Amino acid sequence: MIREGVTATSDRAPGTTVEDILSGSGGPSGSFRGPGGGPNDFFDDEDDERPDKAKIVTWFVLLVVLMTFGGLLGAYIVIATNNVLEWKPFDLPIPIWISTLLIVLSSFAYHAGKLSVDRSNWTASRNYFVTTTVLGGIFIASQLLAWIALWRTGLYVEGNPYAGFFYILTAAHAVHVIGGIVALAAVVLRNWQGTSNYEERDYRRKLARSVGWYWHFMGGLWIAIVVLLAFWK
Amino acid sequence: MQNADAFNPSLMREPKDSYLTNGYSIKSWLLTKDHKRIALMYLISISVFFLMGGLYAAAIRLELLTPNTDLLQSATYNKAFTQHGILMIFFFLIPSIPATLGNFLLPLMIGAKDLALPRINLLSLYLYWIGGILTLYALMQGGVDTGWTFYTPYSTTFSNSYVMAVGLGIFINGFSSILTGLNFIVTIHTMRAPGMTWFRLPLFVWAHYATSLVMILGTPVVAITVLLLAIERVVRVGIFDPAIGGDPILFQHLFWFYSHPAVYIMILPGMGVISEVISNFSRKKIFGYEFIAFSSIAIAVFGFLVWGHHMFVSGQSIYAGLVFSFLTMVVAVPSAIKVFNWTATMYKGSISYDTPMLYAIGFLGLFLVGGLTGLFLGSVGLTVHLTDTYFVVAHFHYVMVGGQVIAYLAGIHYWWPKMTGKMYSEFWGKVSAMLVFIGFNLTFFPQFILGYQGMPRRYASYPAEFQVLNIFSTAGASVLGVGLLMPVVYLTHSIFAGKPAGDNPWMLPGLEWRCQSPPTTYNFEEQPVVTWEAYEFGEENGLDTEEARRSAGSPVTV
Repeated sequence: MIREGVTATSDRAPGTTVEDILSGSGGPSGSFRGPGGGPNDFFDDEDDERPDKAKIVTWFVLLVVLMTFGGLLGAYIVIATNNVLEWKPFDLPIPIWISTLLIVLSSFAYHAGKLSVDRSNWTASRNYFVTTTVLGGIFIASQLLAWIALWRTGLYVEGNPYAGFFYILTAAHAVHVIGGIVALAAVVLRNWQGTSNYEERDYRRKLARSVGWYWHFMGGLWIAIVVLLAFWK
Repeated sequence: MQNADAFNPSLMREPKDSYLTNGYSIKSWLLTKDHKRIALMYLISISVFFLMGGLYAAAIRLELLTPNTDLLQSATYNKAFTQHGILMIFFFLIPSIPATLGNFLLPLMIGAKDLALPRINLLSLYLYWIGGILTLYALMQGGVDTGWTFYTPYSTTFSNSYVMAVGLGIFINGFSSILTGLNFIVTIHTMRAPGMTWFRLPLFVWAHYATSLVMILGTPVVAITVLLLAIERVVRVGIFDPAIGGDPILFQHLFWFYSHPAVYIMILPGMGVISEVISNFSRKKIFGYEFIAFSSIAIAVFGFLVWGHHMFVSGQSIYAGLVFSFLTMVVAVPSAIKVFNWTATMYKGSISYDTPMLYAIGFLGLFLVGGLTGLFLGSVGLTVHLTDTYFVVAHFHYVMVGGQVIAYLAGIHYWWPKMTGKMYSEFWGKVSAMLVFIGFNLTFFPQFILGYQGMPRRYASYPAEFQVLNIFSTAGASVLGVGLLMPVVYLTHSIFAGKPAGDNPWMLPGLEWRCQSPPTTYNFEEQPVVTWEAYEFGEENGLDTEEARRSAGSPVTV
């Protein structure tokens, strides 16, 4: 935390030597944890030996995704609120609700997988992660079905901003879900075989945690999109 | 590593392989993961874009020498100022300091081997090139005349097809910007050397942290805005075009939601450079370290809440205007804190007037003028009179050129010995700094008066009574042009014929001065351990500088 940084800075006596710092006695106890990383990392609330790059990358990638969809949903809300003549909302097709169920289920499956990783139960984790990935794939298929269903009813983007936004929002979300499926595939491959290596276990836990944040975020984002499309139109 | 080691006369030491001599093939440059090589490639690329943008500026100023449209036709003039803006903002100013100096110095300043994600760094350079080439291609083919803001319906109903190509170029370039920001943030979080706590970071690093935040939070929004623009044009979804159910003002909201914070992408790194230069060339610990650090973050955060001040006359609600006006005054506070702290740092400092310091002192004055005139434009009443006049042009050039470009030049001169291992000609450096300062003021100060008198921007012709001030402005532009071209010559010359600079030519405590000049590929021979505060001058840090200078027969002129 930042406050730690202040004390670490001010508490250290001017005569502190390099050896003091390396042995950890120069600052408050535990304020320095070995080379390669800063002692007080913003988000390092757990006692990690090394700073976890994947964690910080994921956090800030999520910020990027959040802002992307923030902009899109903001635009949607503005146009929806304008409520012009061309704005002709329709009822969401059934596959959308199936998709919602699928992505929620996949989040639960992922969480079960992550708990298994934490317990080093590699068979279970592999099965759960495969389930998550398959559910993600079916989610994309279900989205395609939804688009085809709308297409069949003659609903094109032209002349109806609501339809346009429906396609834009769902497609943008689908693109990000596909990115998530790629990440899930990496998790599945990494967990395919058991391991007793400490570093490998540690790595798998961190990977599962970071990808999990992304995947759950995709689920939450989808619910936000569906709620807006269904109830703010 | 003992501190005093940093001041061993490195000129005597056998130089190790530097990053410049580690492989000479084209492949070793194009496929490098070395942040320093990538920074140099960025430096060359942005210089090309700066030159091209400058040529458009020269055309604009020459056209405005006379009241009539004699040099450029009105339509051509529209393209000239649009392309000047696009090249300068998206391809020069935004990557200028972060991608070159930031890329080069962040790892050095925090004691790291490289950025956290070296491949991503190279990828962002390639994305920048792809976006840049696409944009240049479109500009050469037919160009765009929408203004750099791409306002609808100019960019939809009334535009030619090259708007989409340029839009795509900016979209791709946006990814480059996001990846650079992400890389910097991850690097600052995870790669700091032992002992390098958050509050020992040089302020340059803090400024880049804030800049990266803006890049990460803002750029996605402009990217999707450009994407929505493309979708509307291609498949006719009503988003911005009122004829098919869209809202043209929505475009302005989305655009400025990014582009106002983007102004801070363009100035925060410059502020970081100035913090370094002012403290180091005053040989005094910076006044109010925490205030400068957090004012950068405050600017990054508040910058997202003031976009509406670009839209006072767009017909937005007057109450929204009031709130935006108030927040605009609020965002001025952190900038004022910085200026105050810089001035206070210089007070009773031991100031040496080397070229970087000359630029930095120039920055203080010019940024002050730029910032204060921003308050004029941020007041709901006065802005009605000043909107779309040369007052606005002068204001943002004072911030962008007087701020960022001057800071960029200060930084390039300051770290040039580190980047190349050679010292440039101090005499020509000072001459060029003076020419830039004089030329800049002569160019843009008359534009404040012109704008106040009512000369509108973005027209090729103007009433004859404005001619005198316009002649001043064009004359100033030619002085400024000479001042900006001179560094290209003497800096290039110094690479081949400059005096060797040594590891620490300015006698400074920062970590980047404790490695070889030019640095080796992995920067430090051994993991540095930081035992000192930022900007800690003093004998115990091996920095009795006056004595050191006298005995070393220093390469620095005072």
